[in-house]
Amino acid sequence: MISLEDYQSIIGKRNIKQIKSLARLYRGKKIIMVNSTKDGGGVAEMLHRLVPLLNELGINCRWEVINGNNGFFNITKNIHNALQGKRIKFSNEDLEKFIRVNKENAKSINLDADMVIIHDPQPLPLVDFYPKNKTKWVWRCHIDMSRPDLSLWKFLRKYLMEYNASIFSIAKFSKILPHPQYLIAPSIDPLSGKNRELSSKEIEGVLKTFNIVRDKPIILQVSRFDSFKDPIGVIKAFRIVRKEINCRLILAGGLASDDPEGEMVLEEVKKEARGDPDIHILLLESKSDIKINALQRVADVVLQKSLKEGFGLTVTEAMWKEKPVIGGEVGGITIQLHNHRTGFLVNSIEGAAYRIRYLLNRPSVSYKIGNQAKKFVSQNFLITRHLRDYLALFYILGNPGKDIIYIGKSKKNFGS
Amino acid sequence: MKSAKRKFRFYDYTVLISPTGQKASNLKEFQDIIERAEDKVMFHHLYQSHVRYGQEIGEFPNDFANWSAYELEDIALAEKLANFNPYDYKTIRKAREVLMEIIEEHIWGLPTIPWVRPGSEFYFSSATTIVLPLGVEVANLNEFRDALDDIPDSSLYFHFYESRKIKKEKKHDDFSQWIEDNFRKKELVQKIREIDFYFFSVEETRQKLINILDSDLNKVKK
Repeated sequence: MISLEDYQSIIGKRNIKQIKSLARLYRGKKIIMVNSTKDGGGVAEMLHRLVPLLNELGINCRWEVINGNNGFFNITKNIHNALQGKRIKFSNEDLEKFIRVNKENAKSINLDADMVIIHDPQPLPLVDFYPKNKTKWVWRCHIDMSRPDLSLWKFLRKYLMEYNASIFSIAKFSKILPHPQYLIAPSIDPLSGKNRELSSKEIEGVLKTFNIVRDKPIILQVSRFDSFKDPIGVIKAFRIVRKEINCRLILAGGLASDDPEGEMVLEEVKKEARGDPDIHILLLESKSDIKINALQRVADVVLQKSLKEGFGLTVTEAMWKEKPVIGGEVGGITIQLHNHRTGFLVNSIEGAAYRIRYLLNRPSVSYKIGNQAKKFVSQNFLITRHLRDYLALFYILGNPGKDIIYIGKSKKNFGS
Repeated sequence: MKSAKRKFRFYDYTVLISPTGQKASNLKEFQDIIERAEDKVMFHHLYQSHVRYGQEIGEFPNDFANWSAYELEDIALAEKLANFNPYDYKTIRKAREVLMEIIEEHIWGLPTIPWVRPGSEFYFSSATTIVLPLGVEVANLNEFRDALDDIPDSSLYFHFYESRKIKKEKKHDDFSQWIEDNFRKKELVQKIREIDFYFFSVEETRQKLINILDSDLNKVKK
């Protein structure tokens, strides 16, 4: 079991101390996180780490998952897509079912706590089915909400108005709302199976499993099979590059239990690849952390050519492994990749192809960017920073209206 | 080594950003929102850029100048906004007035109002700050110098940048104030106060401070 102290070698003693000081203020309080899946996707992955760490710090934190059948998750997937800007017409029956399933879940999930944090739109209406008492309700939005479908947004906003606060990953996703909004960027865990150092034996073992030979440069995209991740665009960009440079492409990803669209996208990707032996399409099971880690470590260039993206944790993971990353200029990718410094942002298939060639032809630039990328992640996107932000949020929501909160000593005592 | 009458207690600083939901798509909207924005929004964009997302990323010292350069692609305005030092003004009101004059004058000279492409708007935010003890105390200048190597950027930013603005009764940073109050070190105090801190990243400021302290402490040894 990994404990907070284990992060000391990465973030230093002082940062650990700061986290503990902040946690002391909220010790014993009860927090419940709610989302729609235990496995698959970045939200579940972060909660698997954040919940135990909060408990280790003395905060009584529990994680609940709402239940629903395929019909419900088809609707919520459409809601997710429409919030990311896709034009989708919802029937009254669909929206009624969305609300009804939330109401049924409310009967079986006890949300009596000091704070309830609802992740993403699937459980958003839950707030309507609990008594209005001392509990603070916070909506944590992980998706790219820069241009949501207007009619759906108006429908969901009614429920959002009942919350005490909202959290977004970047300012671009924020909206004019009657409650405070906060920015908390997602994070990766440097000690998890997905990000820890691997031995060469472990890496070779993974490559052998997938029959991948390291005889030419490897381009990699790790993503759920989702049209917003543009896997077809990645194959097209790879084909442009291969006219000049002999290389391999690996498209690796899983299917999330709350994403019924995945299998259809996977079939489209296989069709586009046309059995090309240099294109490896890997369908990963939910517990494939070491495999993803190994693939990221052997890649020469990592892509995340998303067309919409809440944050893009696979970008962060590859940056942590000192890889040069090329990402679509959308959502949270834009706060991670800064051209020529921590990676490259692109807006087209041609742009992706050009930057792949640029990096494969300049190993020293790739090395320098990878180096800076790791430093940037260590300062901004590790789980310990995420933990600190949550602790700060708990305290800030408990002290409404204050712009500066002094802890420990009065402000007159600063310095001397 | 002379000990101080009162030890210097380092504090740490953590900040949570709150977007207001307001955004500017062109320079006129930008001007209008700045004119009406709450003081805490101005404070965040003018002063707190130094501690966000690694200062090495932005070329200019505040959010307004960076947006003008990279999103609005108006380099002349970015240069004017980068040269504007909000620490020169006692109040946010005064800093805002001067800023408004710069923007107004710039717009006056433009043939059309420049727009940004969708997605590159300026998003206004404020921030809530939590200040808490770092658990480090120093009693003399040698200990102070050693602590400068060790304290996090957030702590250095708080004592050297932001505390000048949140403590209205003080004109200077906490470090030079403590040295002035506890040691007869007029020249050292002067050198620290001469650091052109607004134009440096927190890390660069840390190096400047270390160099000044090292040079003073070496002189004492000789």
